[in-house]
Amino acid sequence: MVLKQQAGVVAVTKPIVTMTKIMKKQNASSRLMALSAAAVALPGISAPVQAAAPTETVIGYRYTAYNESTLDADDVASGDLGRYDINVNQWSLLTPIGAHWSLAVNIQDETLSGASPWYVQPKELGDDTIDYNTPQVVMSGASPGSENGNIIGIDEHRTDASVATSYYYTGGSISGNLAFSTEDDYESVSFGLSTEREFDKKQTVVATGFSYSDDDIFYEDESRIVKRNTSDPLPDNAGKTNASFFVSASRILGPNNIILGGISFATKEGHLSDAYKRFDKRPQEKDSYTLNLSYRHYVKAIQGAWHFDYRYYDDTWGVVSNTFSVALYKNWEKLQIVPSMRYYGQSAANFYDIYALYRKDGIPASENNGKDYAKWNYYSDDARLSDYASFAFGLKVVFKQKPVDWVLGLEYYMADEEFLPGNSDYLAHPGMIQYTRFTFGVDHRF
Amino acid sequence: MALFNVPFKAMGTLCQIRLVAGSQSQAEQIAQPAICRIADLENRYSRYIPSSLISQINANAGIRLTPLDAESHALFSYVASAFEQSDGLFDVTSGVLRKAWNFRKVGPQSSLPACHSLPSQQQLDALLACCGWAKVGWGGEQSIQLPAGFEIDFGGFVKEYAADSALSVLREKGVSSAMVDLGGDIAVSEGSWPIAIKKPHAPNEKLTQLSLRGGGLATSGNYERFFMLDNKRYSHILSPFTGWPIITPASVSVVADSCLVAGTVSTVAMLAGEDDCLEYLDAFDLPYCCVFNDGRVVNQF
Repeated sequence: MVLKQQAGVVAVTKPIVTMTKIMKKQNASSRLMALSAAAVALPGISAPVQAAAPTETVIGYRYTAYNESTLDADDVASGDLGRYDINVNQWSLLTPIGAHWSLAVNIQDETLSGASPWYVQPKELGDDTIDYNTPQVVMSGASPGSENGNIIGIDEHRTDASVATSYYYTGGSISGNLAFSTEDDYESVSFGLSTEREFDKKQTVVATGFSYSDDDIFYEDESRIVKRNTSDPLPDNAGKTNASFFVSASRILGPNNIILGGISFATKEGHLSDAYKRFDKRPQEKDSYTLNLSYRHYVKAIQGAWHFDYRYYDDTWGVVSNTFSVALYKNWEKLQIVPSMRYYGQSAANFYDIYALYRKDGIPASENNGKDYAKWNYYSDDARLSDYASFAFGLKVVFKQKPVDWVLGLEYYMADEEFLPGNSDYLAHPGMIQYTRFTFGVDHRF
Repeated sequence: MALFNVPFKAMGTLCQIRLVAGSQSQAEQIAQPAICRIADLENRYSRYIPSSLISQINANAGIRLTPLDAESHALFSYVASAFEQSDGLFDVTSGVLRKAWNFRKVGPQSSLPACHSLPSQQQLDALLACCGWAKVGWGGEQSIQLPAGFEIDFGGFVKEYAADSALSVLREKGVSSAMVDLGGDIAVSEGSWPIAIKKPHAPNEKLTQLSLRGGGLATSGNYERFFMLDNKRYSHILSPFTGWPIITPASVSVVADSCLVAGTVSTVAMLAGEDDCLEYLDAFDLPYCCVFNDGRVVNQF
């Protein structure tokens, strides 16, 4: 469960998948793209017989190491300074079946260990003096027996399996997928359906999709929930559902340019509070809207393609975010080098605050300035619901030595309220994330 | 209903259209508009036919503009794109270089000289001065004028385009499954078409077999025309940069969405020569099979 939320920080939304497919063609061979664009303009060249079904079998492996940076001792009241380390092993298979079908199977195994912010409190200066202007996080994984320390560090193991199949027909394709995910105390089942339709000799592609997931959270080991001392305890049959829809369209504008736009809508229902947070009670529903705009521009002189992406996100919890990213796909004979940069900025959820800062000197916050979490319907001091911004810098290197592609990737991410323009209504959250992510992969084509 | 074979001759080679029909005569009737389309393209784009557009453009070189109809305009746009994407290897103006070379048979039966000879560098330099698509300076206008002394030749790709066009005509007529084969340049509609590729130096032996599902297959080879001189093999494929024959792979077959693109990429791979052909084939990232002169085969189908 933790990982799912953690991964959400850098999650790629659905419509991008469609675009990735189109962009793969350009990345793979800009020469072919240009030549094909000139060819399809000819009256004698027919629309392609059927949407491009995979013609080769690809077996892939990815290893990903995700490491969050250690927190500053100044920002931590108690508990480990070290945060999450996640190791992911992923195996994939994509194969054509006959002329019209393809099958994709993915299996993923993740281990997650470390500590995460449990709650935020004002800094204790000793002698019962408290600095209410300096928030500090109390981490999970504090040593047992300490005042706040009866929550254990997190050590999770998660396995995902998914299977997807696509049918390709004249001018389009239909895909369906089914996925399972299990953790010690968590199970998820999801399915999705999507369609792609090509128009105007493949120059325009319109995609639509629907997906639904049903997650169950349960605690066989009763001690876990006790240790996870939380203000919004899980009901017996805790769970949540997520339904999402998307529509996107891409258009090839000549041999060197592609644009894509997409909108999506998602609705979540159920226990959306974070069971790893002490003071966290979130609404049982969340609707979100996303708009994606992308532009790809190939520059022959540098044998490379610029990728510009913008994403606007708005949800009923009051979070509005903007993401800008730019990447250069530079081809160097068998080598592809992809430096990238991403900026993300969001507003805080309307029930976010560092509530503990208002409980001054034993006076209930309700008499202080009304910000006592207990009198609010919903509250959270989760850094990911605060207003903040982040930068991510990435470098990916792909070496194509037929029939094998080697992939190496590195990403450095840092989030901070300071990166947002303007002044914040809140004190800076002490638990902002920095991480590095290393990826190694190999794909074998037959 | 059965699969029938309609053979015919066009573009200087043996051709066939395979399609499903009730009888041979019905198959021939269905194939007729496609065969007419191929003949039409030959009439318009063959440099051997004096009334063709290409002959007109060549005759007008250095004199006047020749207007382009929509299809010809799109073909010139394709020519420009192929020139650019092949780094100048695919060049419709390079045909003039052949004037310095004779790859036809020599000997007592021929009216030509008794033996092959090599041209002088002076001769080649003079021809190279009239060679180079970039010098034509066509920027997408509705008409074209070649510099004086220039000639263009669509022979390098019009047969492939004709295969796609013939298939397109059949599709418009409601034929959902057909194969057009113009001397080895093949375009197929949906369905699975088993195609055997022959060994370049032993045409009766099968090199490889593949199942083509829509799109096109084209093969370029150096085994058709060449001459030997002082134990050296001179192929008819000339470098557009030097005018000299290129040591090419023995043959390159490529599969693409269209026969036209397949043919262009196989031609470019040949022109890139034995050393660089795989680099180019990988750069275009299409399935291919490349046979080298020493018999080595790189099969990426």
